[in-house]
Amino acid sequence: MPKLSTRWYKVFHDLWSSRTRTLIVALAVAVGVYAVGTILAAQTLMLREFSLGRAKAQVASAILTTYPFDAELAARIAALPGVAAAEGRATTSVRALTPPDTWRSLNITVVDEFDQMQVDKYLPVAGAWPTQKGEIMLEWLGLDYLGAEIGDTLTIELATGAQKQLQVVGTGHDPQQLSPEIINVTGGIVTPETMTYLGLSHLFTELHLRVDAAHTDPAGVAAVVDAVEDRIERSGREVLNTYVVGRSMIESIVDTAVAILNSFGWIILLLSGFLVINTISALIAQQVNQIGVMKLVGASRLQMAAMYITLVLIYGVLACLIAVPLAVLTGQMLITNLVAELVNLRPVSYALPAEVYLVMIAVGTLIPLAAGLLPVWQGTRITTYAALNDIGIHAEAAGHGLFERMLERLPRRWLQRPLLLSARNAVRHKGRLLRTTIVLVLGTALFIGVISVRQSVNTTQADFLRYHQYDVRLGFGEPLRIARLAAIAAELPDVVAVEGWGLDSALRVRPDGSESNRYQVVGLPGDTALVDPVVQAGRWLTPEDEYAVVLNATVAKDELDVAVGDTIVLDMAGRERPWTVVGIVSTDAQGPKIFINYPTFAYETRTVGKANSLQVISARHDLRAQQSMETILRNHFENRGVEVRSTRTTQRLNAQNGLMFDIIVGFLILMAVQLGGVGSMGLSTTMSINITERIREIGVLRAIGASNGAIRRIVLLEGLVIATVSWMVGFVLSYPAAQFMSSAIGIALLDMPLTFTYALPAALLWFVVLLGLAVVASLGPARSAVTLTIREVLAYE
Amino acid sequence: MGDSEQLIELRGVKKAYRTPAGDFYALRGIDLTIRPGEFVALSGRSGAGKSTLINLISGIDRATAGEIWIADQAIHRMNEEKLTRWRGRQVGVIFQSFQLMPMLTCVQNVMLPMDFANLYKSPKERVARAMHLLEQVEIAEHAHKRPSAVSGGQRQRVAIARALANDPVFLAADEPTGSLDSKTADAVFAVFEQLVAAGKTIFMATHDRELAARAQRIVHIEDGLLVEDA
Amino acid sequence: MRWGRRRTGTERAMNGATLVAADGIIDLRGITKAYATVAGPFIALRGIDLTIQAGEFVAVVGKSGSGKSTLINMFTGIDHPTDGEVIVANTAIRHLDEGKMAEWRGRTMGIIFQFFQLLPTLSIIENVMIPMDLAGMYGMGERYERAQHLLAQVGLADEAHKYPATVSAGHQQRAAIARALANDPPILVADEPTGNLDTRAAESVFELFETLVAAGKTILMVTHDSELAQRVPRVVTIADGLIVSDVRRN
Repeated sequence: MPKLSTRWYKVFHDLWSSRTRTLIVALAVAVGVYAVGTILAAQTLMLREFSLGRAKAQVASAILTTYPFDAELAARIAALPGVAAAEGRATTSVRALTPPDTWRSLNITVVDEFDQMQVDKYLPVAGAWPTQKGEIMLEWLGLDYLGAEIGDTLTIELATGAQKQLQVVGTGHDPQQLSPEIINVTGGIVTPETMTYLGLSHLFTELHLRVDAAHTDPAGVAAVVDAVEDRIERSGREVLNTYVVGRSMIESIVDTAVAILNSFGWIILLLSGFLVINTISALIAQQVNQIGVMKLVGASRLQMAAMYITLVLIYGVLACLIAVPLAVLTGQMLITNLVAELVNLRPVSYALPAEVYLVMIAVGTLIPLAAGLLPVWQGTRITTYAALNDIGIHAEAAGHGLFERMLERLPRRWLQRPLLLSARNAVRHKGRLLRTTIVLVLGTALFIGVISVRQSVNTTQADFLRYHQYDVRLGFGEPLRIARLAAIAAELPDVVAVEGWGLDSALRVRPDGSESNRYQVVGLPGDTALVDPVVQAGRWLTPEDEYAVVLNATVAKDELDVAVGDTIVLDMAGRERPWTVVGIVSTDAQGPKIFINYPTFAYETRTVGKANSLQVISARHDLRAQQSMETILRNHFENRGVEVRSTRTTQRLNAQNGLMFDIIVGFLILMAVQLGGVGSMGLSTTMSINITERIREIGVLRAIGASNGAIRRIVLLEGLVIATVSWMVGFVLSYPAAQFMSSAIGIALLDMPLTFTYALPAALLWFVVLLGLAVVASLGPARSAVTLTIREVLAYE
Repeated sequence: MGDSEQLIELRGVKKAYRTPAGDFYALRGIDLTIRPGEFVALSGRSGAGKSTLINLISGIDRATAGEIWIADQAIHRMNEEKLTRWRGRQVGVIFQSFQLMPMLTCVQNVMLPMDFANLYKSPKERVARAMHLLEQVEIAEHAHKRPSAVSGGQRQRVAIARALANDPVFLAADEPTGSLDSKTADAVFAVFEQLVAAGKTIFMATHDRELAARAQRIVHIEDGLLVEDA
Repeated sequence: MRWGRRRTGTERAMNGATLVAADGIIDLRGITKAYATVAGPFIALRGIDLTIQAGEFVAVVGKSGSGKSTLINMFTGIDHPTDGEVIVANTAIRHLDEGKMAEWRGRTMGIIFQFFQLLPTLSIIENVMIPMDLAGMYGMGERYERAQHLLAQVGLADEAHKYPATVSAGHQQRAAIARALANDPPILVADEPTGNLDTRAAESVFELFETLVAAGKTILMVTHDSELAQRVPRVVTIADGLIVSDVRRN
């Protein structure tokens, strides 16, 4: 005979003899641990690796553009007070041949000393630095984008049309570079010698500046930038542009994703806590008779508490064994498969800090313990008689609460006793019902909310295309006569219509004399059919407008002092002019934009009758048709001797916008699945517990003439009542919840609320799912109840 | 303890059950003394208060009023925790419905009280004692079966062996033969007679008059009062 | 005294069951019941023949473990015999499955348990109404009035809207009797109906039974209270699975 004391055999047999129950309880606990663990793991990894990447890359505080300068000036600036590092760079945009015959954009940046980089660093990933002439190191995501491998030779075409060969010798990680799939361009670095080889200047035009720790606040950065501008100007160069690095899109995406995970994490923790409490307390409540027997033979309170603590801890440990590895794995998978490429993360480590494991283990063990201790304590406190006869502990007398009174108001004809029985049974264990209802109501509201946010994201994404109501855009290196462009395009049978736009850039000269970052300026006909703006303030352009501008929301956010009706000074094409702001429109997620009526734009840029961008409407608008049109147009224009700098289809633009939302949508779906899972588990466990506890009553119903069908109806109705009432409350709450979430997520991500769309189909589908779950969860125990003969049911009296 | 002439002494014991329809008195003033080594049968109809009296004497339930002294201990003053420990060592309780732990084997059921009371500390000693008790009630060959695998009479024998586990001062039995056929009931009763012969004190509630007649002393209860003591 | 009028419920419930000619309202022929235990088969009933005529008041007595509860489970259809035929109200009940049996039972007999077995979440009058709901007997509006009438008959009119847990044991048993009468079944089966009641409450329940028999009901009562049994017109004594005596007093 083994050495274990007899009482531990009871614990062991409780676990082993009811393996199915053990598994169900462990799973109920595991669902909570998994939900919380996944969220924590994903959040922790994403935040840590993202900040780590940016910290290692030593992101610039500001980038100043000026006339060509050498490393010596950069070194002198680096020595200025408040400057931590300053390096010269120059970037040139080229096209690279991507097999078999696509040209893709590549920004080649010249770097002086690769291993001395102190700001906006490339972190080597594979291969070697491109130290030799004719070598290039690509951003690591660029390999796939350009269809290249390390060792390959890349054919590039310069702005002049000249083609050159560069050898890819390595890859590096630039954490600031978004996925090329989103921004449609990748990058690479070369030596000054290679720039000369390409026929370009080896000098720098950009000064990348990083302030020291004492100056990281906006005022500090501004002060240091001022000093640097002075220093550059004293060297005889005019500062052409100053770009103060703000919050990037990547940061918005990461911050929003983290915020989503964080807020839902707490709610899911609460809900899974309720789930665990319901399961464990019902389990212990079923043990009251055995507690009575143990008291009968002299078990002290502490002895029994120790037994049940052990039992519950084993459930918890089992749950953790199932859930912790799965949660960690899921968290890591979310990073590698969803986040890493899109926000360009290269996680150094997937290790999770101890706190994450501790929280998971706490959810898996402490909550069940807390849930189990109360009933054990109550069970050991009542007299042995009460425990043996299992009275006095969970007998919550049928009360006369609000629900009861509501039921009594229903007409008697309408409310048959079986329905009444279902309704009363549902409210019998008020604590359990309350917890189940909270789980289901919150689960429902948030599930619908989350799906609605997803819908809103889609709608918002569709709204971006309101500014691109054409099929293909052709970009030219210089403004060309619109009449000629239109004539060439018209030669193609599938071209329905074309419109020439002028694109340039401008910066705002603020009243205090400071200058803004450069904003894109779009000169387009005031009555264009290709833009269907969402006007947030004022109005859209008219053909009569002259010195009138419409700002998009991104500009308006940067220039907070500007309101509709104000006059602002723009520096465009080297001329400062006052312009009247007539309206503010929503963003198209393509950065800051200022819209100007074409005639005024053409006059100001001295490009009358010319455009550097041609918008083409073709006969068909699907992705494939647009892509073939894109190639046809490019070839056709080049055959006609017109060099095309860039092309873009609107379907591709839409797809790229979608990629930006992918992470957010991915996490939203994850939340929806987890809320759904916890909600389902909550309903299922409550129903099986409720039915299992009432097997004897089912026997009584049998004895007084209830057929199988009648018993099934009574049992089913109870589940359906709980599911329906919870869904209705959750449904009502889901609308404001969805509205709030879509606005909060929109503001976090795009500085504007998403275009709200309520996911009614999801709400209805969820209702069907809940009803289905109620049926499944009730029918299982109900089936075993009807197969028992009355003798078995009533036997133990 | 045990040097007192009375083993069990009840003075004016009352038990009321609180019902919303008012207090219902199951026992309405019981005075009773039992000497060591007595075999007392408590007879009466269903609902007369037999089970209530057994429950009070074994400390399973608490009296509303009155005093219960057992082996010089004031049972009525003990709290639930003390009562449980006291019962574990001093009382063996036997029910009509056996109340065995279904997941434990027969021998483990018998060892359980020793475990909780922390008596007969070495595992070897416990097993030996449990087996010895099972032999005494002639059920040793089923020692390693679960209660569900043996017949009702055999279960009751296991329950008796369990009641004897910690060598208690007295045994309290509530309808111990109530779920058994007459042959098995006879056999179980014979076990009681042996135990009494070996010096145990037994207080047994039964509505079976024939069986009651075989005890040394019959106490008759009716509607919560003792009406006869023979 | 009339305890309510009957509908066509019984006829409907017999769908699928075999109608057979029988001597009495309850006819047991050669009933054997064995339970398989690990310790070998245990024979609870060893060939019981028993015929009960409509309107009889029969007490089944015997010690615990004698087989009397098993016997009652046979003709209520709560359990099935290993061998033999049970015919109740011209229905051979072994042809009914559990679900059909429940429907048939709901209309044919009212069962009264030692522990009352009222549904705790329903008020007393709702407990009385539920068998009518389940059997689809009486019109919707009629059920409430009928339940009130039945409760008045058992002297519980004042407590109709209370919950079972809030009334005394005796009153709970009266409510259970009213529930057993809900569908006006020809047969009442009572398993130790006074087992959990004090003498006075037991007495009044017994008197209620006598009134019901006088009104034409057939009552079978299992008891181990020999005093009570003495007052019943016919006493069937069972011991170790056999009927050892069957005594009729005038």
